[in-house]
Amino acid sequence: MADFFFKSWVEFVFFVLMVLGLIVGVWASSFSAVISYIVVFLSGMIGGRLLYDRKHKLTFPYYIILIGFLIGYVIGTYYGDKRVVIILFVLGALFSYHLHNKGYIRDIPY
Amino acid sequence: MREIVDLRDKIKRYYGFTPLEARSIAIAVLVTAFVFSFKEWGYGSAFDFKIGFFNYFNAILIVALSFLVHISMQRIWALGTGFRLEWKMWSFGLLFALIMAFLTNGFVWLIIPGGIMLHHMGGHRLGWFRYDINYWALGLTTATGVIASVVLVIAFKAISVFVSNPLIDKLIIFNIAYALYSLAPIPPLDGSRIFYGSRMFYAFLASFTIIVSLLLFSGIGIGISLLLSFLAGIVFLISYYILFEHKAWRIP
Repeated sequence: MADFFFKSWVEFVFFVLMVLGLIVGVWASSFSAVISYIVVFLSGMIGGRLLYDRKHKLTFPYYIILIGFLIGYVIGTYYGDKRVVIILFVLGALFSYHLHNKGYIRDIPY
Repeated sequence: MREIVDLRDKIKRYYGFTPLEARSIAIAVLVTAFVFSFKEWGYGSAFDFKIGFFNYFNAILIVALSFLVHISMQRIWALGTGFRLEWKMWSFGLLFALIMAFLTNGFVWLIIPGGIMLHHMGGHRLGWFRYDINYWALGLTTATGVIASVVLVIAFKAISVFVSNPLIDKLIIFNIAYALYSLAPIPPLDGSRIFYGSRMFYAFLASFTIIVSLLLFSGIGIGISLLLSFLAGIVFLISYYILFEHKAWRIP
């Protein structure tokens, strides 16, 4: 079991975040499309922070994990345009990454 | 007397916030105030910008005062013990708080703005037992923030006896929630530092804060609330020691 988590943690976290994304997507879009867009933008910002944290380190697994969340979220969104959801997620990630990278925001990692 | 003069001098020289800290605190205040006032953007489900902005402004005042009291107490204690404190915001926490506010329509407030770091001031630490930065010193410094929030609740509870104001009631509720969230043992929140500083102290402080918050929230008098929660804290501390702590230290 430990061997599975050690070797395949990316796939495991990908799946968990996909389910989480699905739940959050359904939950957010149950209010309105606007709330769904805001939540996906904020989620993208969390993703951007995560990618900034991995700057100069191994990043590819984290892209996979974030894509997992996005897939789940897109599946869960039933009010609102799915293309807008994807664009807002990417914009949120880029915005957050830029803020951290330029030093406008510096935070405590743990 | 000598210590007071020394502390006054340290406060004069080192208390000021750095530009980065000031910016971080401002962001944390704005975000937390938005989360706190999320439900108050209009009457019922009807949106009203004017009312919403007024409530948001009130929330900013409440949150700013609460954060400043919390962080200032930690800062002054740190200076008194020969450390310089740096407050850092936690962007994961703030973003997560925003997401939860949108998802729950403002029903859940997550007050998880950030945490502290200590910097060693070599000259001012001379003569102290355990010269370097250590877990206990860090834990005790963070605990003063939680205690400051509880003291703020008590002070405004006393004021509310004479002056009834919805703003004071909101401040009391916010600080109770802030003190309880701060105690969560999740890095970088205060609770994690206290937990790693001393489990026994954490057991006492957590039980004391939870019980005093519940009693004050339910409208019981300040003196009785403090006494009961202190006794409950002692009872919980002893129970925790008997049930867990002394077994944890037993040599196998």
